[in-house]
Amino acid sequence: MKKGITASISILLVLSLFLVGCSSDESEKVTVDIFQLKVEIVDQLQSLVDDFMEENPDIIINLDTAGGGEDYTSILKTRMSSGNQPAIFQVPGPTERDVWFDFLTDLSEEQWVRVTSEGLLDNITVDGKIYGQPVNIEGYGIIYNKAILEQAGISQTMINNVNSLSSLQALFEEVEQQKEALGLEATLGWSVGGTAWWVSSYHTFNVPFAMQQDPMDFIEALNDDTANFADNEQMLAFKDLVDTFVTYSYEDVAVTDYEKQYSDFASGKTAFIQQGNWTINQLNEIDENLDIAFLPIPISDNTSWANDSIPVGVPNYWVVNKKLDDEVIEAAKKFLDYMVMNERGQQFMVEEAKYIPAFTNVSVEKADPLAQSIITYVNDEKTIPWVWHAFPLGLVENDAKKAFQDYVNGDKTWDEILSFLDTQWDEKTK
Amino acid sequence: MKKSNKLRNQLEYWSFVGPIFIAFLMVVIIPFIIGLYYSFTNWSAIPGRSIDFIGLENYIAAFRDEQFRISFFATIQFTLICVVLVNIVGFFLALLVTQKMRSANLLRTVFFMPNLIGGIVLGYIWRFIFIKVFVSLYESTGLGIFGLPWLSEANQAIWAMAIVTTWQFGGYIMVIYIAGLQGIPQSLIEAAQVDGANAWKRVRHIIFPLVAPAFTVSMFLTMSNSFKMFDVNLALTNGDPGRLTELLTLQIYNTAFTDSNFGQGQAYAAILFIIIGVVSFVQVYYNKRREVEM
Repeated sequence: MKKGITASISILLVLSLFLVGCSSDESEKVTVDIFQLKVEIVDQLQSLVDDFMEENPDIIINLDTAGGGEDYTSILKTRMSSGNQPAIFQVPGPTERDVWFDFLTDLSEEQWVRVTSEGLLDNITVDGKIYGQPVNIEGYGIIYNKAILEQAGISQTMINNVNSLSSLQALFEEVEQQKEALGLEATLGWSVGGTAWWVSSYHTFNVPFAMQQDPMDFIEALNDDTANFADNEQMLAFKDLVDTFVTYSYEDVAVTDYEKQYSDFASGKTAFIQQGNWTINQLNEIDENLDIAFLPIPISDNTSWANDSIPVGVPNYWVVNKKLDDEVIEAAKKFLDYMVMNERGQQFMVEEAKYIPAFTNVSVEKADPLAQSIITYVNDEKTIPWVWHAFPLGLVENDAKKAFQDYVNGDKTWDEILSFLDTQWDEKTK
Repeated sequence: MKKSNKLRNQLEYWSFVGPIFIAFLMVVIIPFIIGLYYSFTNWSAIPGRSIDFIGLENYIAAFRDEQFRISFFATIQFTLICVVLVNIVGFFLALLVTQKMRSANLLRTVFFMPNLIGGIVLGYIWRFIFIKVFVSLYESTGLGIFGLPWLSEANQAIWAMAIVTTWQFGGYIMVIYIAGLQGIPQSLIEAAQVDGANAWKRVRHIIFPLVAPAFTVSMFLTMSNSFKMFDVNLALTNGDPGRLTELLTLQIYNTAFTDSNFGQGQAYAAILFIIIGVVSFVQVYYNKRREVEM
């Protein structure tokens, strides 16, 4: 008797397994896997995905996120090699675009292409074909705290007139003189190590590249060894900016963490930081009413270089995996379209994710002060590009980081740094 | 009859060993052989890129690569410090907790506890201690040791890593020494005591030779553990400053994943494997000869 019960239960269980298998087969839903790296907006994106699935009952979207501390690129490589390939993923720029080129679907015919702002598709275009949708635009520069500068008796004109390295140095010096009175720990918050290594290795390092006559040509020339760091004017001038930053920043600039950098600034212990608009949420968590804006990052007094501009770029593009089934690709395209052309998607972009949109059909009504400052620079056409996405793989994370730290610690001179970068660049592009 | 018995034995043997053997084959042996193969190629792990056989080029590149040299010597330095520190700390902790004390059991648990915390978490906690706690201790006490640039200078940073590793691993090694110490017959120690040996002489001439087998094991464990150190390295210094504290495993990771040069990374890994193999073999061989039979 007992045996009979056990047997029938087992049979039931086995059968139910089969049934589960069948039911998911029968419905013929298309499954789209999204793999993205913004941990900050997972909840908002999930709610957008849910609304999309409600409107499109035949599509299932799985949202998967790796970012923050995790290494998105490594995980993407693993997933692509293991066969568990996402339908929609993100690439930041030319280097990764070329890495994944065999996987990219041509998106030139999509509706949203026509409403994308000028110049933002260059990094994802090959032979006139467009392979990705910009996620948003971001910008960075030297952020200043208006209240502290006012307290130091610095006029808005002096701030607005920062368009060269010497005018920036004068401004820093003015604050530095009153450091004690203003209760500052340092004038500028900057770092080459700790959890803030990327502040210098990506962002500061980008500036001398972006100020070349034609940044992409320069990188091309570095790749085929017709140009060198060691004899490039902008690279030689860049030393003065780094020296200025080291002089006015923390004493232990080599180990200062990101958390210290932004929290000191938000709580008024530094008057300036070099950061981007993505920091606004963390800053506002500490002080909601910060009155802040961007200054450019000048590397010299040369007026023919863009010393009055801030670097603005597209941090990531959404791309669609070509190697999957046609219906999956179509569904993925539909989702990208929904994000830009549908009101719900636009609401997500502007209100929930607080992006500065890369599209002309989406307008920002209530931007935060940093986004507002970036929009002003964009409207004045005072922007320089982000170019590190075109560097050889690993150059920023391994070599630029080492270069900054060796220089700041006094282990190498600037000339040695430049020739080190030349060697590493050649090694990685040979 | 006999034959079927033999067959049954065989069957029994394989039904127990088989599953483990298959698992071992699949997650250790096969990946190891594939890895060796990749170390002779220019594999970039990017799907669609061709994988070309390039012979010994990756191995030759290792000797030209300045970063490999830096990481290699940093690893040797770190290992030497660790082997000495961890074993001394482990041995004396074991001596301490085998004394007749009421708190001995509690202390064993406490000393072992750091070993239960993951290396990444430990690394971040100690990063905080070195950067924040030490600085405020320096300000309030003025003791020079707290004022050192613990993480911003390469030499100190390697010591810092060794200290964290000792803190983490000391309790584990202690357990091995405890087992060794408990195996020593009380009569021997008492005899020495009657003969007038003081505490230090008892440790030096009786206890130390008799725990030699435990010493062999502990030294092997600390050595291979320090050679393969990754998590504490990643969380505590991540190679800072200037990749001078980037130990070999972290360098292998950076070469493979960040530079997207998996072939090169595999070659470094193979070299590391050979180094660990040779060093461990020599060390175990010599230590075995010092062990005393009772």
